[in-house]
Amino acid sequence: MLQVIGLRKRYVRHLLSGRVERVLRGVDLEVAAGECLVVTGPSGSGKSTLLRCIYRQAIPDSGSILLGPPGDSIDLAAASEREVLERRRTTVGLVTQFLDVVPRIGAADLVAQAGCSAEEAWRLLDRVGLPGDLHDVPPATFSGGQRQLLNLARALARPRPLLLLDEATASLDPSRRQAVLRMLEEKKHAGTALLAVFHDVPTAGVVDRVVTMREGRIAA
Amino acid sequence: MTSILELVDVSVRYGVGCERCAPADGPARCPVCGSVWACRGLSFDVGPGEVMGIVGESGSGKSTALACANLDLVPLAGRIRLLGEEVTGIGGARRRELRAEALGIVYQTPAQGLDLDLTAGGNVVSRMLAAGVRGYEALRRRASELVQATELPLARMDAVTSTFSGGMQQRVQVARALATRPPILLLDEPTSGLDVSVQARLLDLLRRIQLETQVAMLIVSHDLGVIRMLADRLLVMRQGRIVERGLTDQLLNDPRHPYTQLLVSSQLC
Repeated sequence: MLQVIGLRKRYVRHLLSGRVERVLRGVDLEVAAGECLVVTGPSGSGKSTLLRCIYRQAIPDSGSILLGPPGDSIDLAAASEREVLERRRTTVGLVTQFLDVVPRIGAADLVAQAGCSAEEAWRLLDRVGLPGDLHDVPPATFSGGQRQLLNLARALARPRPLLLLDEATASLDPSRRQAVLRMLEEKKHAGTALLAVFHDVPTAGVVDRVVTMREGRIAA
Repeated sequence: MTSILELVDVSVRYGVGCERCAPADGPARCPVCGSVWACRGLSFDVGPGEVMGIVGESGSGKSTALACANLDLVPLAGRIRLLGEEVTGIGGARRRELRAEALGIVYQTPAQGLDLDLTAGGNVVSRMLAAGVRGYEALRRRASELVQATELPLARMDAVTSTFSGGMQQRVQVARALATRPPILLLDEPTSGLDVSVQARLLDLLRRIQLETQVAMLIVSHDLGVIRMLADRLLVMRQGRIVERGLTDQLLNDPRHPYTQLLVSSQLC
């Protein structure tokens, strides 16, 4: 489903007299449909930048990001803006720890805007475990964990064959975290490919393989 | 996909120009003749249902780009296409027709876009009349539809627009712009000058209208917050040129041009 080859990314900080940070130094990885690959590693090792490059929130300097079945894939590293927007609608979803939606719109409406009916939105919010009395509340006042649940529901609002998860359960209490991991496991068994960054790798269930990043490379 | 609006290599000069003017990497203001090159080699297109943003500091040429799109200005060089039709330098009846049917514009100051001596309904209806819509019932029905869609109190539909608050006047502008269901809406700093809560309401309104009607938008703003909320794609302009372009979230997360980095780092929140 996803094949990353030789991905390199550096940030040039022009406001700091052109300081260069080499964040990704040649990353290769592959995730098959129905597989969950976990990326772990110390802070600053490039995990989030890797996901951002795949979602095209950052532009890699070189390398390829092949999305789709072999032979019928698109290279997201070189795709046009419109092609990327189209893939975000249909193929690849990103769940982060941050809220990047309009904070004044009710949670269920935000989920519905991401691509499902109003009823489905309420059902999804129930399933990820957001308390029912918050479903029509705008997320401006949500806690970190509640925001994560909303992000997750938005990513699941329409079926996407690839989900990128950046510390998607970091702010959740243990029981919610377990519930979310079970949901992700179901998605995986239904054929969704998962590429997940975790500091604290879940011990069982959803995870198939774990790789560790260090200084911009896959170390093991 | 046919673009709704397309600008190809558009240059606009204010002033007489001279042979030393505007080398590609020179300043926007010619040191010899004093002419200002507001746009230099500007190219972009907006497709159906797309929202394109333009950011840049004052004097970067973003409003001039919008004026070209609105057929207010004829560029010195380059081409403009609207709905696939070549419209560069077009005038007369066809220009009026296109502005009435294919384009809607919301200006920064309501006085530019509205006749403040007319009622809210009158402002909306006059645009429909210009587009050839006839019949009292039809005009009245559409006007009240729009007044409601833009969250103006229906009771104020027949009040003179000059008695409205700034935020309400902006909503009358939006209603007027949408009256003929144009495929693209041009927005020139639609929220500046409004206080923050009114700004937020207007942004929510624009977003809702975009989601519901899938109207394409070209929105010019110096406020990255406004752009982040509305635009899928973004152009960063400086001294008449596009210095960087990309998906909005990508430019905000990974700005690469020194000027874009400065813009993003200067954002208050």
